[in-house]
Amino acid sequence: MPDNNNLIDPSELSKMMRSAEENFEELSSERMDDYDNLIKRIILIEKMHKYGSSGLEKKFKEIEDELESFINKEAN
Amino acid sequence: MNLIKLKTNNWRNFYGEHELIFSNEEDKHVTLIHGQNGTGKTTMINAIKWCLYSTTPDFDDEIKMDGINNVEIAHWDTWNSKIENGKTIKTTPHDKESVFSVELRFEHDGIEYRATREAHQKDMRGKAIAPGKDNFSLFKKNKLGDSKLIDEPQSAISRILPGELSDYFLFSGETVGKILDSSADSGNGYKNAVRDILGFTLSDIALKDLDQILVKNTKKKNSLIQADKLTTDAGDKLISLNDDKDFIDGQISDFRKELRDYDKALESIIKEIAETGHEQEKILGDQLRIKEKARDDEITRRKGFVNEKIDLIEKYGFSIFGAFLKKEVQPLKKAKFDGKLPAGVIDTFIEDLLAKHKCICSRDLLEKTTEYNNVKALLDTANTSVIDNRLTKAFTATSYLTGNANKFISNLERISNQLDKSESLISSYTNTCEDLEEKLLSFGNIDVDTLLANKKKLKDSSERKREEIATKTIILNRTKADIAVIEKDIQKIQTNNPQLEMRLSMERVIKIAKKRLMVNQERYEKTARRNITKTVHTNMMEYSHNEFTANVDSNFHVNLTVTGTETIAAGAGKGTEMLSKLSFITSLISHSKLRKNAESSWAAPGTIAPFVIDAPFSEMDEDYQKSTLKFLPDQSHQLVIFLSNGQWREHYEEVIGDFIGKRYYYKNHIKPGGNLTQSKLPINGKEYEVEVDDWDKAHFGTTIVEIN
Repeated sequence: MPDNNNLIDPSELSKMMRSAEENFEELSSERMDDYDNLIKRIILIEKMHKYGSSGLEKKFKEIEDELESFINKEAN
Repeated sequence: MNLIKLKTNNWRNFYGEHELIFSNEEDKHVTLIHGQNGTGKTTMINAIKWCLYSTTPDFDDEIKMDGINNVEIAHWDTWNSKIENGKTIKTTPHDKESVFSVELRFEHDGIEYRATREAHQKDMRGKAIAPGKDNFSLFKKNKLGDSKLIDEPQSAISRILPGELSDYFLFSGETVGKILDSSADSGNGYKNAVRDILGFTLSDIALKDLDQILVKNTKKKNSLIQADKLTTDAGDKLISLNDDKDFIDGQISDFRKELRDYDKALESIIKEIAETGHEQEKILGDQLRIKEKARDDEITRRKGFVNEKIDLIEKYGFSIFGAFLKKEVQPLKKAKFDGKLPAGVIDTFIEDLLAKHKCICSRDLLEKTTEYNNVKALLDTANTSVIDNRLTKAFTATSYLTGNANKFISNLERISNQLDKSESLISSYTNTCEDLEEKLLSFGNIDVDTLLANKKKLKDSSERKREEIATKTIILNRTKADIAVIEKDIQKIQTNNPQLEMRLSMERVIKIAKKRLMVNQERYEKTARRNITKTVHTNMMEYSHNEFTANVDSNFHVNLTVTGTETIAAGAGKGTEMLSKLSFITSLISHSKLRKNAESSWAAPGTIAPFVIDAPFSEMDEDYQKSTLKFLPDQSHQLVIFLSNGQWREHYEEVIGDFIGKRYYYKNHIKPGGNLTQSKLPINGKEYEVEVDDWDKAHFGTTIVEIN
């Protein structure tokens, strides 16, 4: 039932909060470093493509490979 | 990027070959070129721009003779020329086969490059060179010192110093204001250029690329989900929710755009209101009202004094000239003395009797007789008491009159003084009111009320849009939460599908990486803005004549306010504005320079290029000129200044002298017998001839002379 004062359905709010909690990923400083390194590598790809253009698809493929490699490393 | 050498051949009034070697010494990174007006200072900056970007500078539009437009080349062999007012005027072309070229050597990231661009005069079309008719080459030196031709030279130049950024490094003093002013209305172009200088470019591109990869990934993920029958229902729902999410995202994005437009319009209207002097007008209006009230109060006070004066005259006037006299004169009325002779009459009467020697009783009044003596004695005794009484009354009356008169006079003086003061105050208030009214009139008939009404409307619209965004964001979050729940469900079902698992992981990682990158960007942008603001502010406080506070807003626009107030320094003066703008650009470059050597996990080094500036002193007085020469070297990576001879002062040497690594002056060659201006350039106690009449093939137009 919606709260008459706030027009918020408490059950919906509770669902949202639970979902947010499940999906919220607090990055530890170690994980932040991992992500910073990933970003650094992506920027490097951008830089290489900026200074020697060889197609957008190729660049996307390189970034996706980098992301996959990161995910695989993460899984291990 | 560092400039090493500029070489020109038949470039405008620089006939034949000329070169400028730029200083690259760490502590002496300034190259100063002195030149008379009209002898080719801007021409040399244009040579650099043309060489790198093929941009045709703004040529003079003054010559169009024999159907031939003004062109860049003006060689001794190809043109007849004349000098007018120190300026070379081109007349009739003879040879259109002549070539003109510019070569620029520079260093970037430790590699030396040589760029050359050349064109034929015959390929000139109006003020520009026909497209594709110039030849551009770029060489880079390898470690062995050999030059290698680069395949796509223009792309390579764009990667080293993008053309759209070159205006922020290579500009004339007059254009700096225009660049920063026009930036206010040119969308994100200006902000993007500043972000590029600060090194955001690659991370901005990365964010866009990650977005595109995310979209592609979501499509792949959805098709994988749909392909799996087990999760078809959930998949359909997920796709539907994702569509909803995209739709709401789009709405929010549109709303945000509208909000930005409102905010921009609001910012603009606030600025407009400030520029109308509305605040100042209000202050003046308040002052006028206060003064008018004071004047009206004083007029009321004056009326009081006038009334008091009238009362005084009535009171004492009546007392002096009315009642008292009436009362005191009454005893002297004839009726009161009816039947009696007044003393004066008695005296005359007796004196007459004595003179005639005949009494009224007919007896003789002979002198020394008893009768005579008795009558004469009457003069001393007759009516004495009446006379005394009358004299006493007269003295009392005189004394009374004198007292009242004194009171009247002193009160009259007091009131007159007060009236004078009051008149003077009223006159002063009236003058002030007139001045204030005149000032108020100078604000013209700008409809501030309409502006204020529009401001309110925009504010309301902006508020409503924010509320709409907040509402949509709540809906979006609900949708996202629903998506997350379904995705969890799907994930649980699909643990055996490694492809889908990868897509889900990819989605998660991209989102986190994007968020992390944006947080880093935001943090860095704030720091950059704070540091730049601090430098600009420090410069303004140290060098500006008046106390102005500089602030760099979220769009990197410099705003000057009067220190201690929020009043926009609209009347700061062109010199002060120029100082703040130059200060902004140099501090931006300085900040970028500092960051170039810093380790960064996310951003590429910012664009660093030499600061080449022509006529930086326009609109500035001597104090500002000296200040500019003081902070420019401090806050520049490599500085090349083209300075007008007329703006050079020998005492500037003390602030910039130590930074100068290379120095040149332009010598203007005019026809023998021409009108020499006799002007000389004084530097370090020596005087250099800047104009000579030795015009021949070897000396023609402007030549460059190095000062050692």
